[in-house]
Amino acid sequence: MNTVQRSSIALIAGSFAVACGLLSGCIGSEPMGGYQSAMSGNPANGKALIQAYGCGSCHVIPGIRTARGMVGPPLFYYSRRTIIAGELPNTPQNLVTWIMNPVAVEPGTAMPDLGVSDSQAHDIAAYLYTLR
Amino acid sequence: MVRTAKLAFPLLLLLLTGCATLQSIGNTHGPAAHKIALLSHALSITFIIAIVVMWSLIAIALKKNPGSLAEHMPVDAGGGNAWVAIGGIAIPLLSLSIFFFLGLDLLADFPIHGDHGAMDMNATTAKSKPDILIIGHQWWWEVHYLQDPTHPVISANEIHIPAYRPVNIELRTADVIHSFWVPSLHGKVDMLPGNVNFIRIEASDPGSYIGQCAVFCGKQHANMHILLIAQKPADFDAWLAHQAQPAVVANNPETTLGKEAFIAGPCSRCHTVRGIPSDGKFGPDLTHIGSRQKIGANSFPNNNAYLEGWITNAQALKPGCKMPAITQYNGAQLRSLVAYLRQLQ
Repeated sequence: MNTVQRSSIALIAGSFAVACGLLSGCIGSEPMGGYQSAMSGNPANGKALIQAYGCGSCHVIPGIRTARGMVGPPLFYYSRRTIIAGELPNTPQNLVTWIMNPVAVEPGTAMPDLGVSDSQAHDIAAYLYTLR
Repeated sequence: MVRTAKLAFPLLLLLLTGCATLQSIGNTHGPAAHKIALLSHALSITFIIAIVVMWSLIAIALKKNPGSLAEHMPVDAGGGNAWVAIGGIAIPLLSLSIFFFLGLDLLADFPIHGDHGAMDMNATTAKSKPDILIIGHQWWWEVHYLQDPTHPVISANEIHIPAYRPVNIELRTADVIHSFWVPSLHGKVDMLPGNVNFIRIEASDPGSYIGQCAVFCGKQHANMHILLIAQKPADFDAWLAHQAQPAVVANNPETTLGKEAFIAGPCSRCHTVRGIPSDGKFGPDLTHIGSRQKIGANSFPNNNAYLEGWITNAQALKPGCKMPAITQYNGAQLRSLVAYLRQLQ
């Protein structure tokens, strides 16, 4: 084995190691903002409420088969979003407020007031925060 | 594979037990559906008995006379005449005759008239005096109540009939072939372009019955649902009298804005709301949309969320349907439009 062969093997092995290192960065990385999680509320109940109120008529919502609306934004990775309605920080309380009374937050919004109660809004928020 | 099949079989049986739900020929609530269920059960049972008997006879024959073909030569052709006469002619003739007469009896529930297939559809209709006219569209049902022939009451998708008495329904189509089918009440009757068909439905119990277009009619065929509500006759009369009048809408800024958006916007080009300037005929009549349980040919619940999602982007909910995505309204207009439509009780 001459020097040229030896150095090219070393080069290949080295690139492989670097590539592995890069790939490892793709798995299990925490988002910079972290995950938002619900303070209270029952996610399973929230899922049923999302179906009953028909949130899926306007939003694509992971885990809800009939939720295929293309009116408002899709709700993928909701626990990683930092802003609600383009103006409120994504905190559990703000999310509950937004679900219960969107018009109070954003007077021109198309999102309707569906008459969601406080405890129901907590359940819905709990479900949305399972979307990591 | 075999293991999966073994597991799947009991699961399939479990699914069959689910047949006693609303949309099933086994769940009968009218005389015609009852006859259909009787005929279908009798045929199935007879078929099973015939299969069991035939395979038993084959098993007996195999057990009784084993051996090669050479041992049985020449084949005994003279000994089986009675088997052929009784098993091959007499029994089938008897059982098929019974089914023939059961079938004839069932045909009486499909009002077939002398003019069937005649060129003049309107003459046929005039003779048959239907109570309700249902017109199939891609992919919804237009319903005319003809009780007062001079003032038909037009509605859509949610069909009301009086219970306990036969109701004659005329069936037409505006485009392709559809088929009207409410399994708990009756069989399927096709709606054919350029022709009229009739069905006579009688619901023996008041209640809600689910049905379905039963002939493939295009992209949203599977979402062309029927909701048929049989009411006590007095309730039906009251309902019809109410439907004949325009809806009474509370007068507030939101409903006024919604009404203006309806008239000025694209809605009124395709939809009619009696009592306001709108006479579109392309889509369902919305005069009493707020009173209906579902929207999109009974595909989605009639609530604020679905109504708004449907108005702005029906294409996402029912891809290919004739309702276009309406993108010109702002948020406040949309919300007030929904508030107005839900008031049309």
